Amino acid sequence: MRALGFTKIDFIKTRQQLLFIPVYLIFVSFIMGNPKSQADTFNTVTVFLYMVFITIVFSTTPFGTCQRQENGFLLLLPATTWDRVLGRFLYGLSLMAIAVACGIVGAVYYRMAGYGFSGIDMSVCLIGFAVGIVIMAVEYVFMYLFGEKWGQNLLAIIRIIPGMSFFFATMNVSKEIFVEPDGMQQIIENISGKLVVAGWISVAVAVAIFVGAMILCAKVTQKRDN
Amino acid sequence: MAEWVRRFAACAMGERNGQVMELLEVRNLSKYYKEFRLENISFTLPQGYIMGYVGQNGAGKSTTLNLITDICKCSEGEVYVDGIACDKDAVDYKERIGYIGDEFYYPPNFTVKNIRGVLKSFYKTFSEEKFSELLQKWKLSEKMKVKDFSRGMKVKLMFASVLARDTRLLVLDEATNGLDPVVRAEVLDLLQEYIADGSRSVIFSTHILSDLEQIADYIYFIHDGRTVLYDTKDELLDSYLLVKGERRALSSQLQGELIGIIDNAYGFEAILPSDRAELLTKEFHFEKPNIDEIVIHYIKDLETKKGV
Amino acid sequence: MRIIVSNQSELPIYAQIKEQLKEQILSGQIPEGSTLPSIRQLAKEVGVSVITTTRAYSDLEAEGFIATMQGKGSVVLSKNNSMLQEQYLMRIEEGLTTAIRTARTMGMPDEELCSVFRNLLETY
Repeated sequence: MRALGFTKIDFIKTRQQLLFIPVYLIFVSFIMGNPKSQADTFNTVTVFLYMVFITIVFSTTPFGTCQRQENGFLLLLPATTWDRVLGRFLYGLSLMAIAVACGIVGAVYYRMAGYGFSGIDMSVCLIGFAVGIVIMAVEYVFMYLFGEKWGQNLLAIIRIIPGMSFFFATMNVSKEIFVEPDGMQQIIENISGKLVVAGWISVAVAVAIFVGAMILCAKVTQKRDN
Repeated sequence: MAEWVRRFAACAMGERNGQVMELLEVRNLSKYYKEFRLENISFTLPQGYIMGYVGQNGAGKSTTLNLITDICKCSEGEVYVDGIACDKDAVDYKERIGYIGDEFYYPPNFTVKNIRGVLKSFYKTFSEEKFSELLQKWKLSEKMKVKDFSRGMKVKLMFASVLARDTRLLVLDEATNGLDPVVRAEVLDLLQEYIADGSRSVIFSTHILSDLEQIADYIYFIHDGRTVLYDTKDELLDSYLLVKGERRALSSQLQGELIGIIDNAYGFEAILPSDRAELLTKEFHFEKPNIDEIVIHYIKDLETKKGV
Repeated sequence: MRIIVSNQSELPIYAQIKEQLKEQILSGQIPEGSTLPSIRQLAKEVGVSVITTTRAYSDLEAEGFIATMQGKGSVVLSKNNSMLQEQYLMRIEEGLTTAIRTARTMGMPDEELCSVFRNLLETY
């Protein structure tokens, strides 16, 4: 329960960017994803992946807004280190959940508008989601391990590099997969059932990594002598 | 320590079993940083009393208070609030402490309503009615963002958030800095009211004593991370005299007893242990010092010795 | 009851409180048998530390002006108790000593001083 309190504090502190998520959804859905110029599947998958991308960028914001003088408030709240770390990780996870929900809304919109959504699309979304969670976990570990020492500089790097890599990878993946010759597409179609299963497995592994990262961060913070 | 005070207080105030209950106990507290060491801070603060923690900027006042509130972890030593150590039960420990810092500690984009929500979800003893009552009394609007508050309003908001809970120890780190005299006077009243029933205590740090001096029961004075003086305030004030006079009238024996001689163009000023008063001849003027003067001359004394 | 503390005074604050209470007890402004405010209440009202008022009260108790009972507070004692008597005697002696000293300084013979005293007693 106390962990959720910390999640809530993170949300209040970063509420401005929370508003930005649906705005961004509308932006990618209607402006970037111009239906006529691209392959059909571009829109359904990319809208979803862009939402994962925005989470990767946004999820580290609470580290930056935590000012030194706020310690008098945050560190004095009656809670354990576990509560604090769990709260922060839950923030990341729930931010991801919100963005993914928006992504699904976008995808459903395109589906209803008559665009395709195959098993491959599903698996790409799942793997993208899994990769997003792992990147977030790694970012958090970095922030907990080195954030105090390097502060804002590290945060700036961490906010830009993984997010941007994911962004360009997303664009490439869309191109590679969907602009391949028909023969290749055929092969992928045949194994698409297995790909979806692989997608779900990768999500499960990602969640496990995320939990592991949380335990690591809690242990490190507990031991730290600040 | 003045034993009679304790005995009389215990008897007069009906404290449990005629014994004074220690609310805050600090034992050999030390913190080692690369460029600064806080060493061997030890004291006890009984229930119902106020301690002033004094020293220059950078003497280690905030460090000590941060160790007490568990904002930082100590390198060595122990702290007990109500007999509880923080590493035994951090949640219970922190429920008992109210902290007000020199800087406003709520995030700038929080509204008063946000703060209320957070406090309610974290603290068992947080009373919404009490909180509203205090806000109303101090004319703080719930709808305003805290970043638009003046310094005085911010301090009052911190007080409201702390006093709306049932705490046992109030920790104030330079909390009255930058406040106008009217608000400072209000803060003094609040602190006295807080300890009025004899079950709660206050420790405050400051480098400007003047107004807070009067209400402090105990004084703990540190310099360069080390203890210089620790006693009841009345005992300290009784133990020293402020001496003024001409330098050439000084006998070498008197000069040896004087602490922190500060010269000016027409004479000197220093403090002298009261039990050496017989050394004073009528060429010297002496009077009772205030805590500030004792502190200034002690620091001068320590700095001179360091220079040698 | 009236208590005014001053930072300019040569007396420490606890002594100022003590002297003022003593004065008012001796003059009967604070009647015997009445209860003084509690130590904490007084500290809060006057704006001084608890230990300061504690010391004032404990001195008053030691001098026999008040008795502090657990749970009942501090009660002003009757003026007939022996310690108070002594206090009164001391005050009388103090006053008379001043008179004697003044008389000696101006060289007044002791008999004349006695008659001045007798006259005053009759007219007071």
